[in-house]
Amino acid sequence: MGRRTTFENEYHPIEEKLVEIVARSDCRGLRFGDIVDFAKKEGISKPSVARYLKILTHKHILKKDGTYKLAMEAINWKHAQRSLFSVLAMHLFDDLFEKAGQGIIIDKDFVELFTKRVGVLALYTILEGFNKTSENNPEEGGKWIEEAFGTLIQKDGWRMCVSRQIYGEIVTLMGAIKLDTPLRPEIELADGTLYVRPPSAIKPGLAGKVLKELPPIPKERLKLLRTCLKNLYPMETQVLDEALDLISNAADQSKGR
Amino acid sequence: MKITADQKKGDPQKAAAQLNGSIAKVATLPKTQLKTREAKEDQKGLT
Repeated sequence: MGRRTTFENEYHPIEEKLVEIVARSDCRGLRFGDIVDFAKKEGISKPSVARYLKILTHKHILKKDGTYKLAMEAINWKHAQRSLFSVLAMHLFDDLFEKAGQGIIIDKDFVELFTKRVGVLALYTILEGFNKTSENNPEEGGKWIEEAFGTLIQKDGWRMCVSRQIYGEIVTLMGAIKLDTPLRPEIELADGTLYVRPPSAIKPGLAGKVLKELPPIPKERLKLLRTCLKNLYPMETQVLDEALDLISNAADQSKGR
Repeated sequence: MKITADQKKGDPQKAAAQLNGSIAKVATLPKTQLKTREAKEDQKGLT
């Protein structure tokens, strides 16, 4: 699938390492100086950073807009595969997303299915991390465990599912929100290579913007969902309640600053 | 998703189409613009 260049066939090509460094940044991207600092730890010199950033920008894999950001990721690159997996895995929640939007799934079923599928996805992803490790690639295995589960796209999808269940319908926001494009991950073909274009719309801060525009949250619905969770998982919720209580007590007893 | 023999032999066009068609709906946001009727309707998809 796709063409691999000489660079991509190397284990740690400079281009791939630089893309990984930039991929770690949030929507604000990374400044040249920051990239140089990170790259130095990887043994890449400042002149090499400058040279390869230019190449990557020319190839439209990175874009330069004051800072360097990801424009496209070649699917041969491991982090693109991890992030694409996190998107395709969300099909696990298709039925919940639809049914919750129509208000036709009872809370008990929603809570049971939601928690079951998040758990399945977490364990599946972690096991894949161990699988990569068993294939003599512990670095990649570690990245599956640290980065392939609970991605921003997944958390945004879960937020939408839960929001629909709380309100019992698809909720119209009180005000419009301006979103960057693309609105979904896109797959593009260029010169025989498949590229994944990450969705700029889903970025840190989106959830806060959406929550700000929600109609008042019905407290009684939150309480009902919490009760369902408690009934299904009494021991587990007790542990979590105690954790919250501990933090709350500690905060109360601590001097406000 | 099953990778077909065609893709293994090298049919990136087909692979791209299959991947694009496989993006989960819950990983897709609606198109919105500020202060338009269309935007108001599209806000639904964000929740």
